[in-house]
Amino acid sequence: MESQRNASSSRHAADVKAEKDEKARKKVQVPSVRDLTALRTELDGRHEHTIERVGALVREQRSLTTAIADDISALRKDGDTLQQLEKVEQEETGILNSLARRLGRRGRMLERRTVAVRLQEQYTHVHTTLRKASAFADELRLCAAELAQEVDRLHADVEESLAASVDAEARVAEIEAELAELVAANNPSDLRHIDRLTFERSDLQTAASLHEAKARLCSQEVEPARKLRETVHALHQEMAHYVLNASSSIEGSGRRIQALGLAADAPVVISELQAGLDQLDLAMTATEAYLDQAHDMLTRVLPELSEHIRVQGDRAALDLETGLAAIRDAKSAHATDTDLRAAALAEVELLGVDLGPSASE
Amino acid sequence: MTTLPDHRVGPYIRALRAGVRILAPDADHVSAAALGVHLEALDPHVSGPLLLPGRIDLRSGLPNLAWMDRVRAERDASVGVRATDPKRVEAIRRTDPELAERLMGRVRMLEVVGQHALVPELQVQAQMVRRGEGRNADGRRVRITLDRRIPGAGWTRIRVEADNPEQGRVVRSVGLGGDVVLQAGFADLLARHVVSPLAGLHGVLREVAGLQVHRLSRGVLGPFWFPGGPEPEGAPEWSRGALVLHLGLEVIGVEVRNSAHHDPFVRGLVAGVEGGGVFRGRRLAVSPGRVDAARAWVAERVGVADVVGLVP
Repeated sequence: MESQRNASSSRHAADVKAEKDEKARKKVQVPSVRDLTALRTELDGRHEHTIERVGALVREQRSLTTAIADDISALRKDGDTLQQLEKVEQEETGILNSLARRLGRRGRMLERRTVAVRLQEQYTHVHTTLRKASAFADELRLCAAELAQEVDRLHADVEESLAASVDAEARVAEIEAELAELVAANNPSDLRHIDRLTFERSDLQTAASLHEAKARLCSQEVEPARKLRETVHALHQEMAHYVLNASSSIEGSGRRIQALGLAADAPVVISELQAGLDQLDLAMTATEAYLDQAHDMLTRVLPELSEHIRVQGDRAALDLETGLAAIRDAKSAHATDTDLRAAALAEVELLGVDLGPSASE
Repeated sequence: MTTLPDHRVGPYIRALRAGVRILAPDADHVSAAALGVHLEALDPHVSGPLLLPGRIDLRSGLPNLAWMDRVRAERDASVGVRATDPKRVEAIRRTDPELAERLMGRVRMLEVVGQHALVPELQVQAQMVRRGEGRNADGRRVRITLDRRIPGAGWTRIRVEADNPEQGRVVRSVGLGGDVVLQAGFADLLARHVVSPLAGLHGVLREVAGLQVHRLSRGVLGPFWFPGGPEPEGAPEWSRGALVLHLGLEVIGVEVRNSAHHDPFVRGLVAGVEGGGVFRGRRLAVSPGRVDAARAWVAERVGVADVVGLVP
């Protein structure tokens, strides 16, 4: 028991240490200017790729739905023909009609068989296309989930960068307090330490600026990524809803069509077939409504979204450029100060003059 | 048609598969191998929620045509489409487990189905019977097999073996490999008579199609009775709340020397037909606890009981 507790506590201590190490490791990972430019390029590329992908998804969605609409209308047409043939068979009365019916019987029988076989084949085809549409709806949902993860990742990057920036600034504040004490003490032996702290402060200030720049860059990317996620999510919802309704109607009519099988010259129960065709009409209505939505998505929503993301991207790029230029200026200014200070110290040492810490500030 | 609650689909399919396995349908019935693959694909252990909801034909208790056809449609729809990368699926599993199950279900289902034959809704095949395949007669013999599933009935196979088929009005041509091309319309004729009395079909084949019928059989797998499923009128007491899968067989042929009637669910003597004796039998797979009661009931009715235990 005791040994178990010891093992558990040492495991816990190891976990805590690992967590601390991880934090420390994360803390020191200050993005360089090059990192930020690369991140900007990567995010731009990723958005461009996603926009293209969403465009391709919408086009595929539209083509699948158009194929389903064509299949349903062909099914409906053949169903009507079959129904018409049955009606003629049942309604014609009288001697002449009876004679004509007998003479035309073989032709009608063959036509019925052809139509019924075609109906069966078309049902098989439309069912396959619907399963394709269903697989496609899954792909849309997968894309939406991946985009949601990207939005989440961007948020995490923003939080992490802001936290790192706050940490750096806190350390700057500590250093400044320490420097103030050292300067107040006015001890010549602290000169080296003061100089080291001064350099660390300037380095941390740069790091804080870079972390802030990264946070800003990532937060500017959140909005376009979120918009893409919402677009794909809406695409999925519409498609899934459509597939569900159309599948139920088409499977319902298919049950009746399959019952016909090849028995085209057996008496067909018209009311049964009619019910099947009515269900096809429901599927067709759903398809037409859906096609209108897909058209709107392709002609209005997607171009608008693309433009919005482009403008947002340009703005983010400009902000980043300005921010990075400021950091570069600040860095070169620090470098010049340091160089001047080093040169001045060297000169003073050569002259053998003892200067106080305030002189080096 | 009725819809099974999702949690019952797995046990239902596994019970049906076990029944098919134990009944071991032979060549007079639809292919057991194709049925095995098809039913395995429907099992949520394989396909996850992809092929749900499970729909049952109320009269036969078997999966309805639309549910069965989803397997074929999924396979056809996957042709030329790149399968989803499992790594993408695993990356979103935590946030959307249901989608992950659907996507992996599709991957697993397509693996199971592969290029195996599935149970057809309607299929007619014909080939010449070769020597050594049970053929003794001189001359040529053709075997025509029709598989069909129609709503309300089980999986049905009609097999016709006819001698000297070229004398009839059925065969259009025979290929070098023994494949037979039938006259257009003959498949329709058979399909229409899939549920007609066998003696009537025998007469149609002899008199209308002009075939010398050597053997004619109809094998039917189904109905399937299961707890909570459709309860047919007049079902015996022992079958209430039990699993019962039927495998029926009717044969008319010159090789059936003594007509026999071993089907407890069909009353009446077998009427003799010109050109052979008639056999009618039925094997039952029932829940283990009901085997004895079922045997006693069947034996009392037809004298011979062919009942096996069905352990899902």
